[in-house]
Amino acid sequence: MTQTTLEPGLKETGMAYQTHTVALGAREFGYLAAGEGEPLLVLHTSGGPLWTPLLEMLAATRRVVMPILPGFGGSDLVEGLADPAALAGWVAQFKAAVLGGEALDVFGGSFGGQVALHLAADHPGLVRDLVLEAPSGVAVGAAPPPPGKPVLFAHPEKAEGLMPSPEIAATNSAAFRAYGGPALVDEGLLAKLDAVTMPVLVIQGTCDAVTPVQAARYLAGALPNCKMTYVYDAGHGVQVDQAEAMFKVVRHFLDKGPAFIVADRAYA
Amino acid sequence: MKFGFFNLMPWPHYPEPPKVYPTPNRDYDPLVGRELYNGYIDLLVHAETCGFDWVACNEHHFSPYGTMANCNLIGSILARETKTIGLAMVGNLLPLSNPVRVAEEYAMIDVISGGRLIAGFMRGVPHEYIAYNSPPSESRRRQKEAAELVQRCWSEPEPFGWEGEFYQFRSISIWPRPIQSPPPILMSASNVESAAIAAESRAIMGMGLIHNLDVARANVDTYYRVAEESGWAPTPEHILMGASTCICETDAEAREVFAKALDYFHDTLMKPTYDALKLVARAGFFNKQEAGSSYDNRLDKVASKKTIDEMIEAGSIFCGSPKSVVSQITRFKEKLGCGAINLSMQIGNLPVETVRRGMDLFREEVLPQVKAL
Repeated sequence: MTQTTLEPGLKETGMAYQTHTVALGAREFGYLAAGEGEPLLVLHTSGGPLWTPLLEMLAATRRVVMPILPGFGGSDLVEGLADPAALAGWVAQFKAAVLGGEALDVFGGSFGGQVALHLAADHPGLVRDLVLEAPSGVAVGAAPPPPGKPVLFAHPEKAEGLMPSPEIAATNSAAFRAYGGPALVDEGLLAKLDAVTMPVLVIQGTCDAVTPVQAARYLAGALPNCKMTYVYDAGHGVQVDQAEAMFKVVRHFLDKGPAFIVADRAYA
Repeated sequence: MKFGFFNLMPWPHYPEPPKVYPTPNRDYDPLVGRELYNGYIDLLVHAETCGFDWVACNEHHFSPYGTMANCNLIGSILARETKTIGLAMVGNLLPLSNPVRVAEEYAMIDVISGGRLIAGFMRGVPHEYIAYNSPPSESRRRQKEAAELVQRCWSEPEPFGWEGEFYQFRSISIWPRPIQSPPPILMSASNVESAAIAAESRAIMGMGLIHNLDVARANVDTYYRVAEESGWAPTPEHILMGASTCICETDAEAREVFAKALDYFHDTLMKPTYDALKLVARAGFFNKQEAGSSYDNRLDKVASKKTIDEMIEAGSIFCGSPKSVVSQITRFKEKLGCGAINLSMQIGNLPVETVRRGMDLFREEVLPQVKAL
């Protein structure tokens, strides 16, 4: 059994979240949770389990549950879990253990969005509405981003205090690579997208320098029930750059499903 | 050199300089207005046969200065009544409009005209912000966001939502899409800040109300420099300069009719603009820091009484016989390096027939001498 170690950067500030553990098989895994209400399963980015301003807002009316994906946040990888599809299988186990068998809403950012799409394709009965923020693995027809360290935020000052320590960041990167990342196009995922029939909202920052806009366009065109939304003046990390703008549209979508396109002052 | 014919559709019958802002509309006579609109539209259509490369319309509110509250209404008429000439809408005031509506209307003009739209993305002068109840301090941020949204409306292949600082739309998919992908964009470059934004946006830079050729040249230099920094190279046709123009048979006639028309322009038509500017400044907006380098300054210089010769020298006007105007345009081009000039010929209270005669002289005696510049 491995004791999950939370990275030092994960301070419990603002809307208090709790850290918990759950036993899956012979091992315990950590997760973060806050709030009461309808559950929302959050799959974090390759940057690890960051408790962002967006999650804080969502937790005001929902029970937000974010598993620390194996290998991230200082935790160990799980032998045999070596790609996003396998990781999605692990998420399904986690969900059954922590949140039960009912279908629920899922939010995934970047790499977490790719895992969420695998989850939705392989276990469509588990996912009610799906929100994706700049998902990786579906940028069909896009040129690879330029080499070098990617610029994640349009407003990096908003990420101050959120980011993990250099040591944890290095292990996050190693875990990301262990799952096959970064991947412009995940062919295995594309082959099974037909199964993703639930309502999907894809969020794309207008300044995203990591996930090409072709990703959102591809999903909007390929999925039968998918809307894409630009968040203006946001980079890859929309939930940090423009948390409030993203919150308004995500909350509306999660509450109303495809009818979120009908104007409502309660969500303006 | 390319030339445009610009008509801002002024009201030529206001009895005296307006005393309050906004100008009371009790002195607008709709029946006279009907004749005026039709006369002005006839001139715009006539521009095609006079060899102009485009006709230009713009947007102003609450003032006898210009009676086109929405230039797209005129643009759609021109899209039908002309066949080949470019249609420069210079243009919709993006920060004061619904950007999706702008994208739709511009696309309609482009489609109806067979791809002849030049799309002006204008920010608007201060009095428009009073008219449409929008804080002047937001204008640059609104302009930036709206410009990006309009271009997305034209280019996105899938329905898309927009969550911005000023604009929110949950699912946009405009019908029609424009023929040109995308239509050429024109932005104001009246000061160095605007010139830089136009260059970053890869837009045609447009400048009018020139009071000093060296100052105008500095804006052109800024535009070229920022364009190079942004990774592209403008051509001379990206440099559009405007000047008020009066062409008559002789210098003496042109000077006489233009002097009267310019007095009406400055004393009567521009009065609401000055009054509004003072109110905006009094409200605490549009100081030097917010306004950029030169608007108020420039307006004062344009407004200050000058002789016809001084205005020709400053690059504000072309005025005279065809021969004189050829020489003025040649010098203007040498100083500014522009490849496009907008001739604003419906100045002040000039009669429509005087303007039409000037257009004919342009076709017969001016254009053949300056086309190859």
